[in-house]
Amino acid sequence: MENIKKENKIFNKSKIKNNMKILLVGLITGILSGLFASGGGLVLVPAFVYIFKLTEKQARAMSVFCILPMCITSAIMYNRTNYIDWKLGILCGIGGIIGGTIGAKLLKKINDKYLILIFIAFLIYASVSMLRM
Amino acid sequence: MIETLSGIISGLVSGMGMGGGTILITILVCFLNIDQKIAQATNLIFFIPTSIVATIVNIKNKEIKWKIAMPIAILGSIGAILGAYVATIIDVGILRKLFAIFLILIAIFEAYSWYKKYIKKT
Repeated sequence: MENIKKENKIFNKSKIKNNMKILLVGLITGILSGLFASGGGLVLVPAFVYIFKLTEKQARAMSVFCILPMCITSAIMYNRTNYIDWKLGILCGIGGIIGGTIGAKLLKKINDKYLILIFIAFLIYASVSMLRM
Repeated sequence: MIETLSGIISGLVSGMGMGGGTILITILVCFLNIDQKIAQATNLIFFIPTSIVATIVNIKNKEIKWKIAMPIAILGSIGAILGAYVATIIDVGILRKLFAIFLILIAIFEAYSWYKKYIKKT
């Protein structure tokens, strides 16, 4: 009897801890993706892998699913203040479909070791020039 | 044309599993001189159709653990309303600076995981 009680206590504790993790990860990702309208995946994928111990593939699939409603709610908010440029969005979207299809195929063929370095260099360059704007 | 080209570049990047949205926003702001808030809002329009298609595929492939994904999606939407509200009311210069800091943080994190993956190899 004592043992069962003890086990239940431990179980409840880990359940609470897990719920706290979900609460924090959800809210932080949401606030960031609303504020910057991007970057949700960059936060969620590592969170799923390191905190929830999911595989990389699951993490990517789930992050896209989770970010979708965040995108829709933020789009509604941005649209209220007329910040959406539909023409620009559609033109970029056409490019995005082309690039996305090619990118997904390339992913299987090339080593991303150097690509990530280029990505990092680009991020640093862009952030410096944005700070100086 | 330039707009479609920037879409292709960010599509390539996101197809390879890195942050396509952040790249699109930076290209639009840094090279096409588009207002930070408009660039951000446009990225959302860009993301929604592609992610709907991807999600349908992912659900069919049973990649999604609903017990974790559902609450994060709901809490995230609440957070997103807050974040987007702040984004629409703050000064565009401040928002751009915050975005730049966010990019630096991503760069540091990517560099750290790159180091762990390819150099340290534990």
